[in-house]
Amino acid sequence: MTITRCFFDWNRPFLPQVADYLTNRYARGTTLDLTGVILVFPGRRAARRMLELLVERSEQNHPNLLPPQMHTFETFPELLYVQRQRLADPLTERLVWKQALTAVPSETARAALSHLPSADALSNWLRLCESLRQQHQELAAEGLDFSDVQVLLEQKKHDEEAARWQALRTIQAEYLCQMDRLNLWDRQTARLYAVDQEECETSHDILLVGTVDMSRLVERMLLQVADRVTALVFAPESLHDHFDAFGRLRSELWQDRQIAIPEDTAVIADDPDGQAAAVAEHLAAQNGTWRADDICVAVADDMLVPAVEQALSQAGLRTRWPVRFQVRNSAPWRLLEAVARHLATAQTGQPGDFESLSDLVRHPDVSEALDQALAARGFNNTTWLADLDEYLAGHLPPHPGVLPESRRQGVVRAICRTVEDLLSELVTPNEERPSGTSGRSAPQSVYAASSGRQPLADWAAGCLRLLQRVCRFPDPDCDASRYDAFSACMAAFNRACESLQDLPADMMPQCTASQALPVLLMQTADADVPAPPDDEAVELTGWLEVPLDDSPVVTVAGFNEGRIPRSVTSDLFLPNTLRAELGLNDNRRRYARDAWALESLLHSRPSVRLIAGRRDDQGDPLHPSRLWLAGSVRETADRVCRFYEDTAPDSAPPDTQRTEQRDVPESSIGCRPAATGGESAFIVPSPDARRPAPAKLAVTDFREFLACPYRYYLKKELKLTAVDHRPDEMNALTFGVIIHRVLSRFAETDLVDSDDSARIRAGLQDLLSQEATHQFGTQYSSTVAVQLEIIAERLREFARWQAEQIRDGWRIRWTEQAVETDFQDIRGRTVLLTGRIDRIDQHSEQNIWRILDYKTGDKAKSPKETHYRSGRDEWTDLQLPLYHLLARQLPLQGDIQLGYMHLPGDLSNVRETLATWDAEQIESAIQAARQTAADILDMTIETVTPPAGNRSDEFSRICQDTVVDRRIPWLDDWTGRLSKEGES
Amino acid sequence: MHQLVRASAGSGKTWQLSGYFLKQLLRGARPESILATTFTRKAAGEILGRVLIWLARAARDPEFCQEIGQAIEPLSIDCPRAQELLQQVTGQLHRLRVSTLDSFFQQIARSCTLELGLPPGWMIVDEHTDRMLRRQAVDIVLAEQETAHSRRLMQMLARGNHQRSVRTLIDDAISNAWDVFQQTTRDAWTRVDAGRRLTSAEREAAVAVLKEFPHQLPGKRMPEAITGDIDRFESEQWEEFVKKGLASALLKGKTTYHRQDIPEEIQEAYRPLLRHARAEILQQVAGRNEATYELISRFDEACRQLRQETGFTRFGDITRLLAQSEAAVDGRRIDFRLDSSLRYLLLDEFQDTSLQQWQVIRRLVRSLAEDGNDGSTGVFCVGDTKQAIYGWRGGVAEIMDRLESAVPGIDVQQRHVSYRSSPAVIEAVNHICSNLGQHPNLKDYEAACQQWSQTFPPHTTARTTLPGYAEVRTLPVPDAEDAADRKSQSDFIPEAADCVSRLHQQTPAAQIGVLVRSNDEVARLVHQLTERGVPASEEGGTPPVDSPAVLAVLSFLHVVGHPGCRVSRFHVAQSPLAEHTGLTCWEDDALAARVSASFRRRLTDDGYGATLQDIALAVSPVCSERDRLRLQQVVAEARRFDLMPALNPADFLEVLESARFSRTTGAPVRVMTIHQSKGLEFEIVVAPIVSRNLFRVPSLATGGPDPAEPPESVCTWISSDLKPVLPESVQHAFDQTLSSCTREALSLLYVTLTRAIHALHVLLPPGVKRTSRSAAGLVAAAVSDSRTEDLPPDEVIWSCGDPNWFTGMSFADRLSAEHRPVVIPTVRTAPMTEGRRRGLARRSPSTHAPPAPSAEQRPSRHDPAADAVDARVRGSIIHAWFEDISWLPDDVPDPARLPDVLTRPDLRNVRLTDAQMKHLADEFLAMLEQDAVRQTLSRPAAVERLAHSQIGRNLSEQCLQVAAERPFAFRQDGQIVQGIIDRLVTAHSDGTVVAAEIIDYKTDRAHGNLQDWVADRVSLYRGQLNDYRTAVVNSLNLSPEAVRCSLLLLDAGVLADVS
Repeated sequence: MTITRCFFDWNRPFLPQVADYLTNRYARGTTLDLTGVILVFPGRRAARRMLELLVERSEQNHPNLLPPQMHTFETFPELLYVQRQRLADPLTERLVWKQALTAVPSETARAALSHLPSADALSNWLRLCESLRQQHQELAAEGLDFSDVQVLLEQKKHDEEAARWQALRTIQAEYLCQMDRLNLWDRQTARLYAVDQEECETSHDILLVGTVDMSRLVERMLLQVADRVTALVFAPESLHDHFDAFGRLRSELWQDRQIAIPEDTAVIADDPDGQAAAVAEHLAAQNGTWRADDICVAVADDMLVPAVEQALSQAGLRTRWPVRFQVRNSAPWRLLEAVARHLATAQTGQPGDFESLSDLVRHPDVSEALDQALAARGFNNTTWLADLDEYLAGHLPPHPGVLPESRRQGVVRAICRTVEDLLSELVTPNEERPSGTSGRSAPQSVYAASSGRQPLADWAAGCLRLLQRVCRFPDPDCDASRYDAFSACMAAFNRACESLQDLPADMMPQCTASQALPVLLMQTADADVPAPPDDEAVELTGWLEVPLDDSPVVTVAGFNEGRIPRSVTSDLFLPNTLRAELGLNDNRRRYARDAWALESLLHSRPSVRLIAGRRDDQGDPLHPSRLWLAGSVRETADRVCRFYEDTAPDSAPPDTQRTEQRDVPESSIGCRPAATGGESAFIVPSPDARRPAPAKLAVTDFREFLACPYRYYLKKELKLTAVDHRPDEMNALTFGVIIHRVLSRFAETDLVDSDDSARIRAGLQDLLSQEATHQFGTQYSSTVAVQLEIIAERLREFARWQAEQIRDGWRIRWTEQAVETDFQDIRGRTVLLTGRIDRIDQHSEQNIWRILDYKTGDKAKSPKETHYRSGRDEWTDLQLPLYHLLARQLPLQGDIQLGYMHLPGDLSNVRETLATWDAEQIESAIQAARQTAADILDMTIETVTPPAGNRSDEFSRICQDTVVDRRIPWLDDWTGRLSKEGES
Repeated sequence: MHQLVRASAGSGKTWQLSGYFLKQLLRGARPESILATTFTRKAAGEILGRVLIWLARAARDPEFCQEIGQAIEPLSIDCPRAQELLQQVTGQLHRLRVSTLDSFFQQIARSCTLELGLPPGWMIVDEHTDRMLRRQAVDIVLAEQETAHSRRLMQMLARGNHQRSVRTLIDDAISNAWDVFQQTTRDAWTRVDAGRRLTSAEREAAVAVLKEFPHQLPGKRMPEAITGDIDRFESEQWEEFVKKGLASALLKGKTTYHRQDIPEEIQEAYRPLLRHARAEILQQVAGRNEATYELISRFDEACRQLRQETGFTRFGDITRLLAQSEAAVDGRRIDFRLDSSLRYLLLDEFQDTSLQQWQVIRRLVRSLAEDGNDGSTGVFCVGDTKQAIYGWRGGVAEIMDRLESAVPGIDVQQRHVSYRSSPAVIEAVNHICSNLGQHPNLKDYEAACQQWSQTFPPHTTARTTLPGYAEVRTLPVPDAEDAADRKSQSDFIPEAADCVSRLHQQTPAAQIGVLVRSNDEVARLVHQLTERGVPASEEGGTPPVDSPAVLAVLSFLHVVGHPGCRVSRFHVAQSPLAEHTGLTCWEDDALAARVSASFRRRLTDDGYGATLQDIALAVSPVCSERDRLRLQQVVAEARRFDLMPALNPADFLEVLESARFSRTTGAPVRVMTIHQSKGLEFEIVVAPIVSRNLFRVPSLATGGPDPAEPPESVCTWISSDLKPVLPESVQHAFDQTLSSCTREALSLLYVTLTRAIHALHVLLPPGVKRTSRSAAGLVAAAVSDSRTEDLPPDEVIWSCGDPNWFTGMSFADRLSAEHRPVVIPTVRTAPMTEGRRRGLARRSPSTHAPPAPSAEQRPSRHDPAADAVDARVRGSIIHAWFEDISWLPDDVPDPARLPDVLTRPDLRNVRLTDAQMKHLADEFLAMLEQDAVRQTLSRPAAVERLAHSQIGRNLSEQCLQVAAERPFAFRQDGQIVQGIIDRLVTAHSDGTVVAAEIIDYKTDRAHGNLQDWVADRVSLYRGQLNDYRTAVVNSLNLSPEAVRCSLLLLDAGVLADVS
C-alpha cells in the first residue's frame, strides 16, 4: 500500500486550495460531511484557519457542514490504535525515571549522569528526570532506544560516551520494568507496541496537510493505514523528488538549493526598534489596500514582540500576539510562588521570615483579603501596609513568631494571623477544620504542618483551595483579561491535580510544602494565557505558522541566523551529528523545513517582507539568516557586504517613501524619541511660602538648616519621613537610640557613681538586654544579634571610661535633660529654643560642669570638625554652643565645658572630646544661631545642597541630586516665607 | 603554525586574527573547526563580519583578492576560491565558533551540564536575581553562625572596628575577595604567621633595657626618638610603633637614624620589642585574612547550595566549574559534545584573560600544541600587555607570556607599526610612554613604571603622510566665582569642556573622542558640553537617575511598594505624575494606600512594562528629550523585569538604580570612559587626565611565584609602612599587586593616547606637580622640564605636529545606523466590512455553562466513599455509553462490554478501579431503567414529540434518523461556534429534513427541590442548547420551531424541554 500524494500550486495560498479540495472530494448536495475525515496539520493555527475556510464555504454552498476531526501529530496517532495499557502522564513518567535512577546501582547512575541531586531536592530530581524522559521520548518516536545510541557510539569508537549510554540503557531498562510493574505505558511505547503488533487501523480518510516533517514511528503507523492516507503537499509537482512518499521533505535536497529572494523583499534594520519600524514601513507601503486580517506579521524572535507591538501601535494599528503571557506571569501563580518562598524560609517549628511575608502581603489578592479581614477585626484597613513597614523597620523581627510590643503590634499580629489563616488552606481542607474557625489558631501550626510530609497530590489540592479562597474568580464581563489569566492558571493547576490523582500510590512523593510547591509551580508555569480576541487587530504569529497562513501580506521580523532557521549547537545528550545519524530531528531538517517554508511563502503571497536585524535588544551582533545567503554566489557576496559593510539601515523600498509620518509626540516612548526639545516639567518642587513659621526650634534644627535649608523644610517643616525598602539591620538612628536609651537608664541606676568598670559593664549589658528585648523582642535576626554584640563592645569600652571618670571626680548630674528658653533671632523675633542634653557631669572639686552629647557614629569627629568650617570661616553646626546657652537655665555654677562622648567603631576612641571654644567663640556661634533662626523663620533658601561627600539621602530624588541640569525655577525668585510673623 | 602576536595599539589585531582565520580556511580547515574568541560579543561580531566581508569582496573583485594578500601571505586567493569559501562559510554560519570565551564556555557547560554538577535547565542569572541570591546567601551565613563568632568575624573584617552596618561590611568583603577566593586554597590565606608574643614580664624587661639608653646617648634626636618609641610600645600602639622612630628604621634594616649610627646594643634592645609589635600586628592581619576566608568560604558554599536549588548560575561559576573539571574539558569530549573537532584556536585580546579562563583554555591549547606543528592544528594568540586594562575584572596580562611555554615553538611576532595614527600622535605616544620613568617621586610605583617605560617598544606609523598634531597642556585655573558649584576642588570638568568645545568649533565634522576615567565624569562632561551648545554623545552606561522624570517614577514605585513613605509621596504628588497616577495629595494616607493597591494590581496583572509604558506615554508631553529617552529605557528594562517580576515594586527600583543605560546619540563628540574606548578610534582624542589617584588602593594583596598561576599568598591590604613586618612571601604579594595596579594604570594611559587618528590633546589640571603620584603627575614629569615642580596653568607644555592640521580636510559623515532616528509611518488598512475573515474568535457552546470544576468537585483523597468518581470522568463515561444507543429497547448495551469504554481515545487516561467501574455501570444501567430515559430514546415517543412541531405532524418511525456526537461549526457575530450535539434525531419527509430533536445528556447530581433544580438546569444550559439549535437550523435549513431541544437529566430521570 502506498500513500497518495497530492501537490498543490504554491503560487497560491495553500489552505484555501485544501478547502476546495475537501469540498470537491466530500460535498454532496448541500452537505459537506467531513465526519469521516481526519485532517492532520503541522500546527494548531492552521487547523483553526481551515475550519474558518470550511465554514466560509459552507455558508456559500454547503450549509450542512459536518466538520472533520483536526489534529496535529501530537494527538493524531492515538486515533489509530487501541491502547492496551493506561498511559502515564508526564509527571508520572518523571517519577518512574526517578524510581529507576534510585533502583539501579549508584555507580550506574553516576556513570550516566555524573551527579545526582540530594534526596530532598525533589524539583531537581524532576528536572533531571524530565531531561531523561524527553530523550527517551525523542528516541522512541523514531523507534529507537538508548541501546541504539550505545551501539552507534561503539561503532564510532567513542568508548567513553558509549559507556555513558550503556549506563543510561540500564536505567532505561529499569524504567520500563517499573512502568510494566505499574501497568503503565508512556505514549511512545504504546505507539510502538501498536505498530509492532500491526494494530493501527482507521475508518477515516486521513489527510496530511502540509506536514513536511514527521517521526519514523508515525510513518510506520501511517503505513499500516496507507490506503486511507493522502499527503497534501504544498509545492509544485515539479519538486516531487524533494518530498518523500509521506510528503516529508527530503532534507538533503534542500541544503544546497538556491532560494530566489527578490532584492527588495529583504531589508536590514539595525536594532529591534529598527526592525519594528521596518514592519510598520512595509505595512504602510500597502497604502490601505488590505484589511487588518489580510496582514500577517511573523515574529521569529519573541524578544521582538514588544517592539513590534509598540511600533504598530504608534503607526495606528492594533495587534494581537496569541499568547498574552505564560501562567508563570499570572497573579494566581505568583501568589503560590510567593507562598512557596515564604514557606521555604520557615525553619523547623518556626514561621517563615518577615521578608518573604512582606512580599506575600503585597500580592494584590492577598492585600484584598487582608483589607477585608483586618476591617472585620476592627483595624484600619487602609494603612496596614504602612503600619507593617514601620513596625518591621523599627523592630526587625525575624519572623511572625516573635512580635515585640509596640503601638502597631496588634495590627501586625492580625496581618500575620490572617496570612496564616489563608495559608491553612494549603494544609487543611475546609471540612476538616474545627467548626467555628476559618483557619488554624496557633500561629506556628500552619508552618509546622507545612513542614510535615504528605502526598504531593494533597499539596496540589491545597494549592487549589488556597487559590480559590484568595484569588476571587474575576468577573469575565468586567475584567476579561484577569479572568483569562485566572482561568488559565486554575486550569493548569487542575490538570496538575488530575494527573496527581491518578498517580499510583507507591509513586506518590511524600514531601513538605516547600518541596511540593516548586514542583507544582514548575508543572504549571509554562502553560499559555491566551490574549483576548480583538476583531480589529493585526495578528502577530510565530515563523512556523507562516507557510500555511493565507494572508496576502506577510512581514517577517527576526530574519536572522539562529531564528530562521533555528539550530541547536549544544545538547545535554546528543550532539547534532549523532542526532542526524540516528535520524532524529537535526539542524539539516530544520533548515530544510524553513527553506521550504520560505520558498512557499515567497511564491504564494503578493507582498512579503523579510526583516533582518544587526543587533539584538542587548546590543549584541546578529547575523543574517543562512536562507537569505542561499542565493547565487554573486547574490550571497552582495548580501554579505550589504549586511556587514553598510552601516546605514536599508532605506525603505520606493513605494514606502510615500508613507506619511505620524506626528505624535508619544512616539518617543517605547521607540526612539522624536527629536523634540522642551524642558522637563519635573522640577524640584517649590516650598510652600504660606506655611506659618515655626514657634519653636530644636537645637538640632540648626545643623539641618545650615546643611541644606530646602532639606530642612522637607524634613522638619513638612515632617516627611521615608520608609526603608527591606530593612534588615538597625539603621544609624535605631542603633543610636538603643545606645542612648541604655546610657540614659544607666544614669538612673545605682551604678552611676561606681568606679568599678566590671560592674558597670555588667550593668550596661543588662540594660542593653532589656532594651533589646523591648525593641526587638526575645528573638533577634542574626544581623541584629551581631549589631547588639557590637553595641555591647562599645558599651564595654564605655564602662572602662565611665569608671575612670568617676575616679577622676566626675559625677553625672543630669541625663536626657530637656531644657528650653526663649531665643531671639537676629531680627528680634522670639522663638522657643528647645533641646535635650544627653548628659551633664559635674566635677565638684574643680567646680566644672561638662555638657556631653553622645555620638554613636562609626567614626569619631571632634566638635571642632563638626561645628566649624575654618576654610570658609563659618559655623556648620551650633548644637554645643546652643546647649551652652540652654544650660543657663540650669543651676550650673562654675566653668562649663562642652563636648562629645564618642562611642565609635574604633574602641580606642571611646572617650570624650571637648570643644576648646572660648566665650567669644561661643558668643559668635550664638550670633550665628540668631541669624540661622531668622533664616529658618523667613524660610530663606538660596540653594539646594546635596549631603556632604556626595552621599545620597532620603531627599536625593526630590532634590534631583543626580541630575546635572536639574531645574529649580522658583529658586531665582524665592523671597521666603510670606507670613513673616513676629517681625519686629 | 602556532603564532603569538604582540600587537601594539592600531597595528591591526583584528585584521591579523581575521587573516589567520582566512588562512586556515584557505588551507582547507572546516569552518567549525576554528574557535575564535575575543572579549566582547560586539568584537566577535566584527571578526566574523570582517572574514565574511573579505570573502564576499574577494568573490566578486579580483583586485580585492590582491589587496588582502598581505593578510594571508604566503597564501593567495582568487575569485573562484573566494566564492567557494564564501558559500562554505555562509552555509555553516550556525556552526561557526566566533564568540566570547564566556559564550564558548556556556556552550560547553550546556553540553556537559551533568558532568559539571550543574542542575539541568540552569540559566545565567540576571543582575537583580543575583543580588537577591547573594543577599539570601549572606542570610544563610549569618544564620548558621554563633552570634559571638559572627561579631568577632565582623570585627576582624572591620580591621578591629565595631562598625554598625554588618551588611555593608559583609557585602564589601564579598565584593573584594570572592573572585580571589575562587582562585585560591585556604593555604594562600594563612601565610601570615604571627609568631610568639612576649609575656608581660618579658615586655617589661625588654622595655626596661631600652629605657636605659636615652640617658646615655648624646644629642636630642635619638634619645627623643627612643622615648617616643617606648611610649608607643607601652601604650600598645603597635602600628605607630613600627612606623616611627628607630623602630621603623630598624625594621627596614637600617642601622642609622638621621645619619647617626644606631649602636649595636640599642639594636639588640629593640629586637624583642620589634618581634612583639610585629606579632601583635601580624595577629591582627592573620585574623583578618582568616576571617575573610571563612566568611567567603561559607558564603560561597551558600551560593553553591542556592545555585543547585534555583538553577541560577553566574558566568564566573561556569568558568570556575570548567577550570576545576578536568573531565568536562577533555578535548575529545568537547569535540564530541560540541559536534566539531576543534583544530584551531584563535585568541584575541589575550592580555585580558583571567586565571580561571586560562586554566580552561590552557588544556585546549596544550592539546592542540601536542597535535604537532604541521598545520593541522593551530594556536593563534594576539594581544598587547600594554593594553591590559581589565585587571579589576580578573585579567592577568602575564598569562600572555606563559603561552610561549604552553606552546613550544610558537612563533612570536611583535607589531608596533600603527595603521591608525598620524606621526604626531605616535610621537606623543612614544615620548610620553618612554619617559614615564622620569618621575622623581614614584616610591612604591617606581619599579613598575621603570619597567613599563624601559620595555616600551617605540612605535612607528604606516600613515606617514597623515596630518596631525599632539599636545599636552594644562587647564586654566577655574574662576573663583563658580568654584563653589564644582563637585570638588579637583573638578576641572568645565575647563576640559571649554577645550573640547573649541576643538569642535575648529572641526565640527570631525569625530572627537573625549576619554575619562569614570562614568560620573562622562555624565558631567556631557552636561557641560551641552551647556556650551556642543552636541555630545554619552556612551557607555549610566543609571537613568540623571532624568528627573525617572526619579519621580522611582519615587512612585517606592510609594506603590511602601505607601507609608511620605517622602516619595510628596515627590510624586508634586510632580506631573500626580495627575496620571492619582496620587494628588501626599498627606492622605488612605489615598496612598488606594493608589498603592491599585498599581500593585496593575503591575501584577498587566506587567511592569505595560504599566510603566502607560505612565511614560502620559507624561511624555511634559518631558525633556532626555526624560523621554530615559523613560524609554526604563520601560524596556521593565519588560525584561517582567520575565521574573517581584511582588514589591520597590525591588524594580533597585534594578533601575543599578542599571546602566547609554545615551548614545551619534553626535560627533563622543564622551566615554577609557575602558569603553577600547577597540575604537577617533579623529581627535581629548584626554582630560584630571583624576587624583593613579589607581584605587586594592583591598587584597595577591601573589605567588608565577602570576599566571593561582596566587599562593593572599593578604588583606595594609599600609605600606607596615609592610616590613610581613613575611617575605606576603611582602612579595604586596609588591606584585602594586606592580600590576601600576601597570594597569599605565595601560589605561596608553590606551587613551593611542585612540587618536589625527590629533591628541592631553589635558592636565592647573598647577599639577611633577612630583604628584597621579596619572597627571606621570604625564607632567614625562613631558616637562625636570627643573620645574609646578606646571603653569593654561599652557601648552609639550606639542608636536601642525596645530592647524585640519585645514583643508573634510570628514566623512559617521552617523552610524544605530543613531539614525527611527520614524514610524502611519499605517492605513482597508475597512473590515462584514467583520473579520481570518483569525476569528472561537466559542464553544459549553462556555454558557459554569466554569471548569474546582477542587471541591473532585473527590478528596479523604473521601470516605471509595467508589466516588470525579464528576467529569463520570460524565464522560456515561456520555460515551449513551452515544452507543440509537434506540431503546433495540440497543440495550451488554453490561459485560461496558468497561471497554475505556479503550476510547478520549478516555485513555481515565483510571478506575473495578469497583468504581462497577459502580458507574450500575448507575448507567439504572438510568436506562428510568421512564424518562426509555421514553426519550424510544422511537414512538420521539415521533410523538416531533409531531408536536407544526412541520413534523405526519411522521413515521421509519423517517427518523439518529446521529450521535454530531459535530457542527458555524459563524455567528464574528465568532466561530464549534461543538458537538450529543444526540440529534432528524425527521425526514420526501428526502428532506422537516424536523429535528436535540437531546443533551446531563449527569449533574440532583439536589434540593426537584422542580426548582430542573428549572435551574434549564436556565443554566439554555444558551448552550440555543447554539445547538442554531447549528441545526442553519445546517438543515429548518425553521427554529421545527427544532426541539431537550435536556435529558439522567440523575433525576427528567427530560426537560428547552424551548
